[in-house]
Amino acid sequence: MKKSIFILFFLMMTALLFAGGSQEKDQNNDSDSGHSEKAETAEENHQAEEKLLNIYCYDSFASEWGPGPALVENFTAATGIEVKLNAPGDTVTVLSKVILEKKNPAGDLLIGPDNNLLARVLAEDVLEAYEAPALSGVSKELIFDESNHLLPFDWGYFAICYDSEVLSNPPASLEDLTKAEYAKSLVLMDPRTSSPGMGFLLWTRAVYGDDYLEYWNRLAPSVLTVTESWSNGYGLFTSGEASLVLSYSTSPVYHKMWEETERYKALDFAEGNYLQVEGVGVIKGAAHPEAARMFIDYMLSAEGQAIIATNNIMMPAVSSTELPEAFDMAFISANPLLLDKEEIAAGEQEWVQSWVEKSGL
Amino acid sequence: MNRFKMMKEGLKRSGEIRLLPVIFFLFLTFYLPVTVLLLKGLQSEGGWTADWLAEIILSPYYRRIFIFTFGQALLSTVLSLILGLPGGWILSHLDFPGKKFLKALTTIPFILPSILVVLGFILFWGRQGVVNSVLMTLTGQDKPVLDILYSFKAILLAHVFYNFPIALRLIAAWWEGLGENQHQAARTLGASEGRIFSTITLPQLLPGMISAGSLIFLYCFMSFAVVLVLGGGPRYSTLEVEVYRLIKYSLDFGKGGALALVETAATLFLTWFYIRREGRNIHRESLIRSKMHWKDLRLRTKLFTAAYFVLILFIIFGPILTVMAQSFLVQTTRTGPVELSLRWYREILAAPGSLRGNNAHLLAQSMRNSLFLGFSTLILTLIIGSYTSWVLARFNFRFSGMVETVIMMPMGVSSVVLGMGYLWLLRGGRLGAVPPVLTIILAHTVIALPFVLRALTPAMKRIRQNLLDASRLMGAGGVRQFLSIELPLVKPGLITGGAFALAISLGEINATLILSDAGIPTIPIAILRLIGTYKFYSACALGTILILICLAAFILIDAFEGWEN
Repeated sequence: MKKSIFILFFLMMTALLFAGGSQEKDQNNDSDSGHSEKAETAEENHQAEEKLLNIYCYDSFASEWGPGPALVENFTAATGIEVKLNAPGDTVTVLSKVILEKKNPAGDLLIGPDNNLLARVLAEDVLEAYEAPALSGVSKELIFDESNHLLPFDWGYFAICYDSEVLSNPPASLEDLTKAEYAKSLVLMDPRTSSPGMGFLLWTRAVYGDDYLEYWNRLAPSVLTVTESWSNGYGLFTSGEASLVLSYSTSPVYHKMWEETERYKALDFAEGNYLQVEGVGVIKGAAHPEAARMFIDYMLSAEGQAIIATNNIMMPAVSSTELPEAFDMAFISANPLLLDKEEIAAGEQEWVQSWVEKSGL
Repeated sequence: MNRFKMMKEGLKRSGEIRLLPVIFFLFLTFYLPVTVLLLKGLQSEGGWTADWLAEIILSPYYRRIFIFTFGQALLSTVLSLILGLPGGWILSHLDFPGKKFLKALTTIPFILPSILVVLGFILFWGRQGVVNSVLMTLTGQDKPVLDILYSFKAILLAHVFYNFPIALRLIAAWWEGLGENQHQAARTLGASEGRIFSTITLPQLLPGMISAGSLIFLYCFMSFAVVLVLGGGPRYSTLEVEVYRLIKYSLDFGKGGALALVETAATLFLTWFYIRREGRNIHRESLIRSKMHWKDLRLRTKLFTAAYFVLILFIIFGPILTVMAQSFLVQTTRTGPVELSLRWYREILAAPGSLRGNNAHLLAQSMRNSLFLGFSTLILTLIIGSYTSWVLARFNFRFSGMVETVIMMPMGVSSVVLGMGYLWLLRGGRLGAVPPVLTIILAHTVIALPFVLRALTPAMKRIRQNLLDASRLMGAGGVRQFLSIELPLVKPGLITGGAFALAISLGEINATLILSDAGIPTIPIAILRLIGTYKFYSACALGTILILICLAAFILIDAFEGWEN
């Protein structure tokens, strides 16, 4: 066995050489000469492949029943620019991919990071600012990034949804959720891996401040399970495993529009609901920044906003957009909650780690 | 020494050189990406550091996770062995109609994609699942009777579901090789059956059980999707899930790499232990024991066998059959009755775009991708696998144990860590030109290769030396001898290995999920997305197709094993 350990050691040392070598290359790329060289290559690519736009977005946006395909079809018809939708997973996954590719960006446009991820997006410096003309039609409260790196394209509130066929007496507040009658009834998501999960954690921070973990401890008996992604959790809810689920204020609109049922309803809570605004931005170092900006303009046009609202099932960012009747199923909170982005940036990691260790889940 | 003997010796000594291409392939596709990732755990911006490792080792949180990972794996292993033991006896001692089919069926859970198992468990064991519905009707309660999911119990149940067939098969194989002399002597001396079992049979079985147990322990230690989805919450987190979260979501390559280093050290040790035990077992010549026929059995034995298989059918096939059954169901309106329908299969087969809001495009695409990846993996693993097993069987090595260890090591690294290693090499711009499809095929090949080798090497070693000597005397060279004599003789091994490679590739989700861009949804990824978009029934339909492909592959294996015997 000594010999085999030696061989393993040898293999590892060789791997180490490779690792060391590539690290040096990185450093070269970071130097000034590396940068200008890359800018030139980007310029060449731009000329060679002018008519191709590479979009990074979350999977449900790109899926057949999401807004992606319809947006792309109309955009290509109008401009002649071919579009490729890359959707490797949920928003956190997509953002991770863009950050990983930072030194060698392959995408042009990033769709999905919300107001809660803004701090991370800005800290990682992966986007370029763009002051789209259509922003004039977006109400001031939705513009969550004054520096215009991440532009709002739709919004909603995080909300607890319930199954009206199972639950006759739904909770009216975060406090109500802790009641014994809802024991093992609620499906939540992990804040480390899902944006609604993160949203709910911030929601409890916004309401309870530093005492948020005490609330979580009281809430724990009501929680059936904590899923990795919104998709998994919502799937459990619709399959009847739980009567309450963390989702969006607009979720019932989907069921009304596509399944013609009012069975699932979103709850407007007494303490208020946490606001989510989804954003889009041009990736720094993109090969086709002009096409990316054109796509943002299209997303914020009247046609684009209508497609996004009815297929992404979120409220449109441009308030003048006409909406189908089903959107009556979504509520407007009288008390929208939002944490300051500097506060999130400073506290986020510690809040999540404390949640992991002490939430009682 | 005569010339012929010298030639043979010369050939034998060159084994190491002949394996170099394989070692080089594994170095590029396995050792390099994994090591580069693990070394992230020892690097900081300033150079080398032990800070991450110290943080992990000193943290009570990670200590708790390590203990939980270890504990759940141990418990799962013991339960799998207990459930596998009676089945091992039945398979090795009895002959009854349908035995071959049942044996094939017990292999299915092992190769089912985890996401499908999770789906099946929700539909079968869930609060609104089949078991609870039946129990609620029987007891007249309106609340779920059993609370199994989203707890420790669910993890154990799923691990037993996955791994007990391994215990069953390995124990059966071991049992077949045990001699009867001691038993008969003991029986003559008047020992009771219970005493014979505990003092003679069990000690004889122990090496086989340790071998099976160490493999099962390894799988449970690295279990991913089951813990992720069925555990529910940070309390039941394992090392594997934490590594995934730290790297995939927090992009914390430092801490994630350090944790992966701890995990990989443990799993590599387990693999090494397993391979050593397995190596001892391979060289045993197994006796073909005569089996008792069904009609000669005592009533008690018949009842015992029947009861055991009813239990297995319930635990193992309950979730699978539920998935299959649900795929034929449609709820007419939200409160309306459930009806039988082929609607989901029609949607799967529908031309893209022919129905509004359907998933035909995703479904057709995922089928195409999965089959393409599956057959590419199959071809690549069979080429590399048959060459490797040929060299291993025909040539002597100075350190043969070591060589086998180096080749089998990919078993001991989680596909999450492997996928992350690829991701780091690729997305960091280092190997950016490699297309994602190729990286997925390579990852699948690395994951499947040890299984293919385990199917091929014993078959290759079984070929009688005098046959090869004869062919060499007649002037057949190495390559020609390999192609015209050895390859046809190991056909059953090739089919077994190929079926394993195909099934592993079709079911793999961890590395695929990490490496796949939107362009390459596979069947398991499509199922994941369908579950996420409320399309439970069509997820079940796609799952059913996957189950049937795997079932066909494994019935094929058993058919060929039958011919071999």
